[in-house]
Order: sequence, then C-alpha cells, then structure tokens
Amino acid sequence: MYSAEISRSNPSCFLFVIDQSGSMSDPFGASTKAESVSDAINRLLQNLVIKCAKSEGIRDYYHVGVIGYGAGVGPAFGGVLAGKEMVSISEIADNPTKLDKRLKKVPDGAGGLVDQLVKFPVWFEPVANGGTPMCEAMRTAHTVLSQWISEYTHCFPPVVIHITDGESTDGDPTPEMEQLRALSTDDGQVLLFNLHISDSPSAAELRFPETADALPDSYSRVLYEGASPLTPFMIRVANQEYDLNLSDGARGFVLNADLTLVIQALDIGTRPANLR
Amino acid sequence: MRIESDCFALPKAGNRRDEYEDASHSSTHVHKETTICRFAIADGASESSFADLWANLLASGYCYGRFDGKPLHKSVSPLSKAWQRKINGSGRELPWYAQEKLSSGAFSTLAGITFRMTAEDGAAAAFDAIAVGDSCMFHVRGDAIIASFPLSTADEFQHRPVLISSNAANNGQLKSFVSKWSGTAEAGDAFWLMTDALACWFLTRYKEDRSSAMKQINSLASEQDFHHLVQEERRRLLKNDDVTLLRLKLVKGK
Repeated sequence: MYSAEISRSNPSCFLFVIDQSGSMSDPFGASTKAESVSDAINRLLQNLVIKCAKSEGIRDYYHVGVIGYGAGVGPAFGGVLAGKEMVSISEIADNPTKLDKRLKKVPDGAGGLVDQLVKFPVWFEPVANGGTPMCEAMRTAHTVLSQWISEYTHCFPPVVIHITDGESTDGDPTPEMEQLRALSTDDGQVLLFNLHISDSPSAAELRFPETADALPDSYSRVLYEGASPLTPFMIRVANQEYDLNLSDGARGFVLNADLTLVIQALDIGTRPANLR
Repeated sequence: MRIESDCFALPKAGNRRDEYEDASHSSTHVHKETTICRFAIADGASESSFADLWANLLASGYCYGRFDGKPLHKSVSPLSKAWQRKINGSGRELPWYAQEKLSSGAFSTLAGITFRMTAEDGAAAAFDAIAVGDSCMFHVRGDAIIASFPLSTADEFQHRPVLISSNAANNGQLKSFVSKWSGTAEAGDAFWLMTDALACWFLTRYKEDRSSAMKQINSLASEQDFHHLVQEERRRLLKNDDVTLLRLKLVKGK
C-alpha cells in the first residue's frame, strides 16, 4: 500500500479544503486566522510546484483542486483558474494571481543563515465570510475525489489537506471525514490531513501527535480523530529529515504548524538529505 | 595491463532519452611512466533541477583529475561556477519556480575510481576510489564480488542520501559523507560501476542466486541486451529509475 509510483503517466492528486468562514477574521498572532490560512496554502502550493519543477518546466506529477467553504462551498481558485475543480500542477505554477517579494532565510554555507529576497507566489487572498459548513465541504471533497479516483484507479491515493479553525457550524464532521478516508485507489485509502489554526490560549504548536493528550479543545480532538495515520514512508522522512521522532501511531494532524512535510514526503524520486 | 570498458545506460521508463539524469565518463592520461585511467558515474537527484548537467560536470571533473588531493568541497567549487555559467548562458528569463529551484542548486552522487599502472607492475594495478551517495562499485573476481563500495547490502539504499550540491551552502556537512577506498587489482579482475537502482537490484539478485546474477551482467553484449534485461527486471525487482552500468575489465598486455 502507498507504494504506487508517482509519475506523469501515473499522477496523484492533492485536494485542499479551506475554511473561509467569518470566524477566520479573528485575530491570530500578528494577523488574522484567514491570513494565516492563505499563507499556509500559498506556501504548500509553492512547495508542491517546486517539488515538480525540472529544468524544462513543471512535470505534471499531481492534479490539484481547492474547495473553499464559508458563505458557500465550491472551487476556490481565483484568476484564470476560477471555477475549475481540478487542474494540473503546471497550471497552478503558471497562474499565481500575483508574485510578492519576501525575505527568506537561507544557509550561508558557514553554518549561519542570511536573508535572501525571493518571489512569493500568491494564489489565495484571505477570505472570511459566512458560516463553517465543514460537513458539506467534506461531502463536496468526496464527490470530487470519487470522480478523480474513477479515472486513476491504480494511482497513489489522493491527499486531502484541510485547513480550518475547527468550529464546524453544520454538525459534527466525523462521519463525513470517515467516508472521505474510506475512498481508495488500488494503492490505498485517501489520506486526510487536518491543519488546525487555533487561538485557544492553551494551543501550543503540535505536529503529528500519536495521542489526543495534548490537544487544547474539542475542535482539535475532532480534527485529530478525523485525520489519517501517517504512512510508514512519511514517518521515515519525518524522522530522518525533520528530526521529529514519530512512531507508528502518528496522525496527519498539526496544530498551528506547517504541513510541508506531507508534500515533501511523497516519493517522486531521490530527494537529497541536504536539499532544504 | 590495460582496461577494457563498456557502458550501458537507460532513462526511467516513461521518460524521454533527454530526461536521463545519470552520467558516466572515462579518461586515460600518461604521466611520466604511469598510465592513469579514471572512470566515474554520477546520478543527478530527480527532485533537483539541471541535475543532468551537474552529474556530467562531476563525472567528467573526476576523470580530468579535478578531485585529486584537495578536500572535495574545494574541488567542487569551480564546477559549481561552471554549472551556474552554463545555466545563465541560456539567456532566457526563468519563471519564479525555476529561479527558486536554481537557488537550491542541483544535487548528484559521484562514484569514481582511478587506476595507476606502470610497466613494472606486471599483473597488478593499484587503484583508489571515492564515493558520495549511493552509486556503487563492485570488484569482481571470477564469479564472486570480492569487494563492494560504498554500500554492500540492498537494505542500505535509502531515498535520502547526502549528495554533492552545486550550491556550496548545501555542502557544509559533505566531508563526513565522502567514502574512500583503495587497493590492488589483478589482471582478469572486473569492476562494475552502477547507479543506485541497478546496484540495489544487483545486490538483491546476487544474494538470491549468485551465479545467475553474475551471468546476467557478464553476458551483456549489446545495448539491446541491456534494454531487455532492464525491461524484464523492472517488472520484478528493479526500481523504475535511470540506470547506468560501467563495466571495466583489467586485461594483461598493452
């Protein structure tokens, strides 16, 4: 399981499910939850694109969809991709809505870090409007992925990255998450990852926990329980490359932390240990 | 003594020939009374870009003697500049993702071996070798591997080796990951250099059935033979990756 080759002829799929509800306008750190969410998804998309970038351009190892939920539930791409459910990673690469400039810390070769000005592509601006129909969002994800799986039965199963502050307004999303995870290709079940943006006073940063013990509230617990266990390969990458010391029970859940690992830990070929 | 060599290479199934990112090189120099023969293979990492160019620069750099004597990260520095020049020389404006990827640099393994032979040596030749990453060489005598370098079991092949980067900032830890090997070889010995997928497959096959594994490599006479072997074994034990085999044979006489 989870061993199908990811290549242009056997692509895999990423589906982002993003909370765009009114509560996302709440302050979070120096900005708002909505800004944190758009930052997180822009960073994840950027990572995904760069992973597939080769000298001749982008190799279409992945198809990507984004479902937003708030005032409505549906495809959330902007610009020329607006309204599309699923697009190739090269279309994502070529169609950011803008390119910001940001400072990035890079190694200086002498053990230190220096600031470097890099282009930061933006696909998503912060949105915060309406309720939090998480159940409906999961049902929509189910529909989109059922369609994809029927076309790519033998491929590496889709990865769902769900980013939210966790407060569902249309009921407990547990059964919907379970149904989504139950979808499968010949190579394994859909992998659901939940990224919880929480402003709970007791919410410390948490990555891929093995138990619910350190979770701050019931929203976190629902998202933790709904998340898939990490695959053995992901656990190996997390431990070897990210020094995370995870064991078999680690769940695809993070609290106020980065999910980049999930993207880096899908095997499309040799990734050197010293490539950061 | 002289060295006969042949090289076989194939890209990953599903990729075009120009998407092959391994490299191999050889050279012969006569220095005073010593004949120096160098052979190298390199495997550009698939998650980096312009890795084929980098693998080629490393393999040819080794064969031109650029790695003699100096610490590896210093020898690599002029090659990094050459890599950068070649990319900048294309003159085209790169999209944002290509710029970002370029700043990380390209990554590649390297396995190189140098034989030094003089007229007095007769039936033996001294050799020394270096390796970074999981490209391997096997010292073969008769129908046995008498040494395997730098890896010797299939379990040791991982997806995340430390590799040589075209960006010096990524080579900080490189020193601890350079393996060195030296010894003496006899006339009749063979050396097989293989990039990771093939080396891992060969070690597995060797453990499974030594004589048939040896025969599979020994009996390769043409590109078609190699093509056939790779195609068959990709259905079984061979991981779908670029594959390179450099087969050397030490032969008596000039």
